[in-house]
Amino acid sequence: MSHPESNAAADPEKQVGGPSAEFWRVATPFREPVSKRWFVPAVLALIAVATPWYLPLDVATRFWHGLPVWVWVALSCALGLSVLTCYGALALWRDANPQEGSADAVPTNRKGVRS
Amino acid sequence: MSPADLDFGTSALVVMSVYLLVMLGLGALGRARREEESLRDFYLAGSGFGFAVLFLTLFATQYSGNTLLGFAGRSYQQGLSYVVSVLFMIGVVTVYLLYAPRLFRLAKHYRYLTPGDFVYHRFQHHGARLMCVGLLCWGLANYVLEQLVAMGHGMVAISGGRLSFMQGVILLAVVMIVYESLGGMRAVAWTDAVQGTLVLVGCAAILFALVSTDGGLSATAERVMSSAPEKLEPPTGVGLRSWLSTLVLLAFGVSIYPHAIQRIFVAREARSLRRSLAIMAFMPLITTLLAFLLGYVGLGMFPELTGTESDKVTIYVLSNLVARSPIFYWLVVFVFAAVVAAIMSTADSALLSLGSMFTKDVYKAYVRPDAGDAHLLKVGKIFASSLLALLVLMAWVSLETESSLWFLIRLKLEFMAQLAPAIVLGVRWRRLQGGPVFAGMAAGTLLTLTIWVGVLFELWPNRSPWGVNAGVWGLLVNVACCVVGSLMISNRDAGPEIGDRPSDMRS
Repeated sequence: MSHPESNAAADPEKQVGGPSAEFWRVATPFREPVSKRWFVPAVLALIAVATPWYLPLDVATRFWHGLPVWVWVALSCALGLSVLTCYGALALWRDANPQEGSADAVPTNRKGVRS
Repeated sequence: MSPADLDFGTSALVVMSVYLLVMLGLGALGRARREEESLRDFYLAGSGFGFAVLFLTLFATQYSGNTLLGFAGRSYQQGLSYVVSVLFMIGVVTVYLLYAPRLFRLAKHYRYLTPGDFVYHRFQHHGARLMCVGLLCWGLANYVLEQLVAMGHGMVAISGGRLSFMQGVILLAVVMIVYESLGGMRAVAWTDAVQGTLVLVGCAAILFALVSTDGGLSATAERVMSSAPEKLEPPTGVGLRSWLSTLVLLAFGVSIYPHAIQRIFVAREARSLRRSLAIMAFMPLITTLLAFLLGYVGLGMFPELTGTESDKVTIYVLSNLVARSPIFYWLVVFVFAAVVAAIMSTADSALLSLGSMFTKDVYKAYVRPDAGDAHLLKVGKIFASSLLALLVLMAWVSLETESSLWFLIRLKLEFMAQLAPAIVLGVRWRRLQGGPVFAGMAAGTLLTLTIWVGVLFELWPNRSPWGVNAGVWGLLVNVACCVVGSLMISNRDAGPEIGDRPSDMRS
């Protein structure tokens, strides 16, 4: 078995530091869901409402269409999370890299600032 | 009617035979359509997939035999609080949105083949890459094993006992390895498309049947109220903490599956990926919800199931449907074919991913850095075949020891979730460093193992101290190591930046 050190001359680990500025330029899309400040709090809020920490125990005996009401609350929040995720994927995420032939390519107007 | 009385007759075997022949045909077609004899073409299908195939392969990969068998069993055992499964499966897609937009761009630009490629490129740390590959291979091998066990149960049920558990496992494993070796990712994705369609249509039909026959869910509610009313209650105290920790563990653990990450790599363009994920966000409301309801309906129909029998609640409920009319007979045959399809589609993707990680991240990186693609492909196929043979043997052992499906799920996810900080933080936080990432993964894994082993030696009562899953405790320590370690290191002089592209990325 050859040791990884055997091609040390080309081994990037022999150099110090993190990835280059180019790496981060490539990594950063034109727009992504988490860059919207409300996106993650909205996800957390839906999970908080879906989690039945605030409900009295007797909700287990209140039914609607064969399931307890608290289950319908959780399922409604699940639907809300689906809608939010769908919206995040379709409306809040735009790739911008015309060189790669991306179908999402958008003429850049990024003001030279990358997060 | 119980599963023991269930016999689909020879019609079901004919349906299964046709299905397996179609899979082999797609494998041969995948081989005929290959563009070149390279790792990238075999493991990522060259230039990638458009929306329709990408969505169906993502869907078929994400929803396994475990969704329809294991999740339903868990719903039966835990009661309605397992509605959290619908939330965490949607959460998986939400977590993709945290890192996929960036990882997709990096993968396209730097031509990543495996998650280990990203980890090594991002952190320049051999330990982090090996730890990543080790955790993922551990998790994936367990994942394939779980699928094999489910395959055996599925084939016994659909053949009405004509095939034994091991015969079923071996038959499907051989078909799977043949079409996968022939066509690689292209064959896997095309078979996924067929399998995904079967699963989606089958689940929708059964969901409709469950809510519209025999009094529907209202009749189930009355039965459960009299037989097990405690299973209707919302979680409280420890149950709430368990709910949240399950949500965190599953959402982050499942989203880190390497075969799912590789589907981000195979997207032809971002638009296909965005559309696929947008639709994937709604799929748990069909598939996972069905599994949850199967457990609930089973609770009303068969309240006495215990142990591994409760894992078979899906088969019990479907058996009950068969007796009602010829329409339900064919519907259930179709769904059983869909279950087997779901199992195979997940297992083949995981096996392909295991082969790619071993070949690229271990063999090429540390054993034969100068090996050509033809040699590497051969090594990958031999590795996948040998591993599958070993796992088939282990499936037989697991049958003898009667380990439950849920136990296997937990074994993989607790460890795989430890990779989440390296990926999710790694694409975003520039100050994150390789050393702390490696230390975090090691500490998180060690803590998780310690908690598990402690239960074995009766040092503490369960694997979820304070109701929080061991893997989540590990994840918390992992994140703390990553953040604190990186902040400490980055306060020192970081030196010059590294080159843009590691030498072993250029396959």
